[in-house]
Amino acid sequence: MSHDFTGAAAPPAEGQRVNRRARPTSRAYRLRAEPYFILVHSPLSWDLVEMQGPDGAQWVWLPRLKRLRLTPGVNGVRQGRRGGAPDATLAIAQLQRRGWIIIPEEYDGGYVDEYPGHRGKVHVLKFETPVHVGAKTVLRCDEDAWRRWRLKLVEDGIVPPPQQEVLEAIMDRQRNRISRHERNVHIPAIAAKVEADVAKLDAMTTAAGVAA
Amino acid sequence: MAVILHSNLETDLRLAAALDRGIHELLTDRASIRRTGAVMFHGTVNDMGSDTKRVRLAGLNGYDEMSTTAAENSDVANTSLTDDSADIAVARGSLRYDESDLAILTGFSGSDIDPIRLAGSMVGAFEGWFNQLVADVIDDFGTDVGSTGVDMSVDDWYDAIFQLELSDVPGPYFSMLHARQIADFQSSLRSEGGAMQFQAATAEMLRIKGQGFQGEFMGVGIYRSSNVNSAGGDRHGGMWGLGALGYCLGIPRPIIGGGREVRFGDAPILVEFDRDGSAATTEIIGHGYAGVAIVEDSRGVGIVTDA
Repeated sequence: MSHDFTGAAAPPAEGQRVNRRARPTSRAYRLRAEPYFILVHSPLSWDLVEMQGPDGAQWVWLPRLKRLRLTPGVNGVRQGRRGGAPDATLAIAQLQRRGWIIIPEEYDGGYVDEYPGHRGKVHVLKFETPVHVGAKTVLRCDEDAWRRWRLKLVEDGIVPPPQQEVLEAIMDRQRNRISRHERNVHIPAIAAKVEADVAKLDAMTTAAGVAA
Repeated sequence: MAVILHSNLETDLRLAAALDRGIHELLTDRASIRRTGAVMFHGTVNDMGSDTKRVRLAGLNGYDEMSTTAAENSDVANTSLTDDSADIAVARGSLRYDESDLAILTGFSGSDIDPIRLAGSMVGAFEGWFNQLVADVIDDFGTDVGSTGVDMSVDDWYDAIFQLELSDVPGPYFSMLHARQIADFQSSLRSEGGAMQFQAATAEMLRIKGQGFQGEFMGVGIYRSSNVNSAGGDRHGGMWGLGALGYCLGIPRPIIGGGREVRFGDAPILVEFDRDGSAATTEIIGHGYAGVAIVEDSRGVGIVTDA
């Protein structure tokens, strides 16, 4: 059963956002300004990843999440009325009409962190941390935590589990990869690649059985 | 007798460092995907009564096919017309520089940072902003290929083309990728066997398509942009067929009582000069109005690979 996301559609005004945690720092990060965003998920978009579980490593289907950036001019996001925050109402409505799922901004205590950047505020996932490296800044991502969080979205019913047909289409792509290289398996590098691709297809099939 | 050394003449008779008269541009991405045709132009919002244009989509010209009737006089059921729409909201992009009179007058005549040179720089600033809008849009395609945390490969390229072909997307196809994705892709291409060729951009192609065009692979034009977004440790590029993306513009009208505004050819921007007399400073302000959106999601696919 799909999750009801009513109430997540209308974002509060810029100054009223409580889900963005300001992270003060003594030195602005050399990252380009990144606007506030809302995570969204297309039911067609899933990714197989390896995760460490209590019984060791296992392959799991995780939802891919996209950022609906509150940038006026992008995908129907409008400039704020009367000088207010960007208005994403139309953009969210369009996404919902196409079957996308909007991840509530307040889910799990919020998922956006805010840092000062040399060209304005930088909004990143709470799993990402900017790090100064000499004169540059790199964004370090805690990919394990990010994966666990995406799994939690499914476990908590925010994102419905994948449909079998969607996974089948992704597995078809994997089969195409394997068949494209099969004639060249006499080349050691290709043979190793095909072996890895076959192993991944097996993992996909197993995980799809679990997801179904 | 003491020799006249240069080092002795510094700094009364010689300079420690003399300024080059020319100004060289710092490295930046100057690609303009707007001018390539990869994003369909849906007109302006001028005189439209709204800042948002609703692109209307209808299933015509074969979307609904005829079907054979059971008999020559069978009644035919009514078919509902399939329709859809996409909203393109136009927003303002802007950039301002302030330059003092002293900074202007001490510059080398004809080859320095002055209000006219800064105004000319606004065209590139607008195209850069537009590229960022496109990059923000393409990371919202509903279907993705590629794997999280895995470098881009030729297989991902094939997956993207297959996905578009499975959806019956007509060409031409375009792709916008980050430099990291292109580097990984080319690295993967080196280990490929069989007859396939990456057709690198020639001087002629670059002249037509501009900086950022990398060439073609399997008939798909490849554009490199540093604006391609990174999220969760991955880069979010994309591939799409014509019609997947659309943009609208707003063209600023001439300023009433103007004379302090500058226009640049077909660039849809307005640059104006404002004067803060009490501070002996000139403001150079550029404005542009644009909006980009996914018009038909099934015509595009995201390419998500390791950052």
